[in-house]
Amino acid sequence: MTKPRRAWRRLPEAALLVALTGCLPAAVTDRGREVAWLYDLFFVAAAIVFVFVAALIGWSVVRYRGAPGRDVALPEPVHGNLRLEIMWWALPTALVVLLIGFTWVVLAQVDAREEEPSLTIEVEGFQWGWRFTYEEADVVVSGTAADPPTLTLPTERTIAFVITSTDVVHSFSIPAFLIKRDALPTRKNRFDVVIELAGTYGGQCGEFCGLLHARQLFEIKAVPGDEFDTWLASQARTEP
Amino acid sequence: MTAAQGDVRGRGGAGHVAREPEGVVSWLTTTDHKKVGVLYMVTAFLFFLVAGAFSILMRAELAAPGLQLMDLGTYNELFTMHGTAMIFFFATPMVVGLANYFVPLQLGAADVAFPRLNAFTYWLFLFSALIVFGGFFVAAGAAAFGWYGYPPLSTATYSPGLGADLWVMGLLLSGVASILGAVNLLATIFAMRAPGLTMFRLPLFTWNILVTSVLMLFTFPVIGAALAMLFIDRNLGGSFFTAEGDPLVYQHLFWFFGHPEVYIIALPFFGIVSEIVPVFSRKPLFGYKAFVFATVLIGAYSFSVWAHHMFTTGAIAALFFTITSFLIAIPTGVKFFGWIATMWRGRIWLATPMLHCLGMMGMFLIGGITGVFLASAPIDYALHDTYYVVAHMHYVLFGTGVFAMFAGVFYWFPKMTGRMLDERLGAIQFWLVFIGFNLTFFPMHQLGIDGMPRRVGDYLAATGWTDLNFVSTAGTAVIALGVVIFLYNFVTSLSHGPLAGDDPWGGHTLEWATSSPPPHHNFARLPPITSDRPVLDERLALGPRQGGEPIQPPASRSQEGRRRRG
Amino acid sequence: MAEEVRFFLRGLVYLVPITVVYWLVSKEPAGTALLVALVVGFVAVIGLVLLHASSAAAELRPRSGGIAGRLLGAVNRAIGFHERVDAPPPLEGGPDLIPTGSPWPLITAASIVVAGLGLIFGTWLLLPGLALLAWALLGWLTQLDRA
Repeated sequence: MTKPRRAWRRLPEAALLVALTGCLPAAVTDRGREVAWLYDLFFVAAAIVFVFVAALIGWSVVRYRGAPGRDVALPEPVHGNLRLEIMWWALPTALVVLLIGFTWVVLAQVDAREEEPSLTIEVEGFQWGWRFTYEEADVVVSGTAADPPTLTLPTERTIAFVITSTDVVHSFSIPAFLIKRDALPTRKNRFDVVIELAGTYGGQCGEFCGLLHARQLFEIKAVPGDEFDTWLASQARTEP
Repeated sequence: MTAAQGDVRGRGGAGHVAREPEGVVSWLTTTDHKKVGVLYMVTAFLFFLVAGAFSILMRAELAAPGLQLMDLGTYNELFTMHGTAMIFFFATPMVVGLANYFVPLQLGAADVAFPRLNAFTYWLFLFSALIVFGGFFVAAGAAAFGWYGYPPLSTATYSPGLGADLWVMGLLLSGVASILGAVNLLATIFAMRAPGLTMFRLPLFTWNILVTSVLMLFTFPVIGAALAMLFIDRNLGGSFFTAEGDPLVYQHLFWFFGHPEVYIIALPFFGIVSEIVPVFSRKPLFGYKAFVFATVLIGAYSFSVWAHHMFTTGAIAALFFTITSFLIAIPTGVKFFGWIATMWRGRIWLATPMLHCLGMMGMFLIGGITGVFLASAPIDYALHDTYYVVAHMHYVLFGTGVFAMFAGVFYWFPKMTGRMLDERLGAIQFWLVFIGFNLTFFPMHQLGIDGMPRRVGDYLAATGWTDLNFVSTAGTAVIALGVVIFLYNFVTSLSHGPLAGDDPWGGHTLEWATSSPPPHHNFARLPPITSDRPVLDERLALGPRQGGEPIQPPASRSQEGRRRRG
Repeated sequence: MAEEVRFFLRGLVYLVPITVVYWLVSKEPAGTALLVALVVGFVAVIGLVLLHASSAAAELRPRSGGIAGRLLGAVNRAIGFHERVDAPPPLEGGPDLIPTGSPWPLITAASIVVAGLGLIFGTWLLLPGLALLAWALLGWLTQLDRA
């Protein structure tokens, strides 16, 4: 059985190589930037822990490999070691406290709400589509699974999304924003973002909501502020 | 008198002993904890195969964008039933089955505390599982709202079909079975221990089952209440969870059960690993009390983390649940260090049970680490309900649970049957499942980071998710091949496996003190119990020559070969 | 104090404060109610374990069973366990201390399932289910007397 032995020795490095590819995409919102930063921090901590523990496991298997019948004497029956045990309660505790601290800070930033956002969008999920209301301008954009809507938004302005549902639970999720919130029929959920990068971003219902959940798509088109103002004015005029 | 009773010493035919029936009837009427345990395990494994077949169909559908094999409705039924069956009809009953068979043996007891209740819970579990699967045979199809059945989607308005009612009723009844099973195990562990077997000499598997039973006892009533209210909403005009009520309360109730449930189906498997690692390292478990304490702590913490599944509802105390969820990492880390320290300076025998334990440690390491990411609310806002969660949960449930289950099967098969499973086939199976598992689930981390939501039967080619999905699907085929090899190994070894003897591994705990398979009343005699390793103690007392070695080393085919060469 | 009791007390050491903290930080009634119920449940189990321990001790003395002990003994017999729970393992007694096989667990489970399906499909199935259940329970309990 030499094959598993060699493979075990290589496992940590191989896994690390694969794992290093797992980074969040570049964030396009201010909130997303904070989340991505926190994720990267967690990733460094995770990589260290993984390599450390996997190396310990790998080393003990390779170094202390034996088989029945080869040598008869039993290893020394060590039952425990108080100093070691205190250390390995303390090590994870310290790491956890550190990560809680960073999470605390970022959570406050991500959940922060602007007193007076420059734009409020009411998001309504339904089976199966989305209705977006520009509250200040009284413009409505709506679309279904057959014809997904496009939500046009300005960059560099604080946008508040107020999210709800008219039937079952949906989730308003834009992967590029690195943030999502559930659309609940009995509540209004809210999150605020500033989009920092113009572009087109796909969005999709995140919480399973029935037959056409997979098709409940939408698109966000982020454009510079003046372009957005022109667009919004044109929409308001065509409104009956 | 049957043969089984004939070799029993003592007052066998005292008049009030009824004749033991044989054949099929003996299985239908049995109250023997070993037979009930076997029924549980075999049934659970069959459901594992069925739910696994569902996942192969789902992966086949996702191998490329577009709908190739099924419509979205069928896909929704499949993932709902895959999750439901794996959690409620495979993992939970597999735990109960293993506990049924081995807890009384590890306690030196003749049976569980309430043998007839035990048989009853098995039949109730079997019938309720069949009810849930009955959904496939009614007109509207099986339940299709995900294994956690969030209302309002699961109410009669949005899921009017009969399959949904069968799902609710089946889970309700299987919950009753789980509660009664937990009571039985708890009573057994508290009241049936052999003389000298104090709580702090209990084998780690039994300790984990004890904590698991407490979790089951207190959480299954909660999901029972939630399902009962859902049933009333659906059939009797209630409005607990409709738009007039509060659907969010269901989420609280569900996850107050749902998170401890994860530990219900993880802790016993940690326990199996904590049994096997010392035996195959030829050392005592390092830090026995720390292990016990960590187990109890994980159980206690698991009651206070439920709403980390609800971060994106925006309606919960996110920081509170972030902190409590992080706390779980501490006792979990301690278990890792304990396993490593047990192997350290040991003499590691890399037979199939140990191989699977090492696989479990590697996969659980990854699954545990990604769990820390998801416990952090801001990161969860990005990754919740994406394939990252699917990857995390399969690393914990499949990578940890299924590998540890196979470890347990290879470890205890000789005890249950008197024969060995083939070691070489076992190693091949291990590497196939290990490679297939990582091919299937590792790419899902990246898919989740790229934003692919879970529970979709289709995705657009423009998303760029096709390649990773294809790799994942290919991995599933490799897992399936590994499982087929296991089935072949299992079936052939039942009748043709090498004879194992009573203690092929050199075990430490009481189940190795009796014959393989154990007689109806389990023990003809018990060794004196003065530590947590009574069988090893007695073997050492026989003299240094015996050492920690098995008295009869296993004559597995590959080892015979090695001995001939050497 | 028995380790079995301390086991649950340790759980309470965590659960009681976390319940208070949860209520203070969230003011969320559903979760708080669940945590309070959990604490009550732990206390109840501690009570049961203590009760059982004392009644088991009482059973060792002849004719001093006490109501609780007799009640628990009756429950044990009804569920099918014939021996005292704290008895040493039956190393020599062989199978006569283990209950024999019984068809009633299977029949009882089946009848409960029929009754449960009756709740979905209607009274025509519910009533036969309940009748079957009554028969099964009767069979289960009377089998003890003959055993």
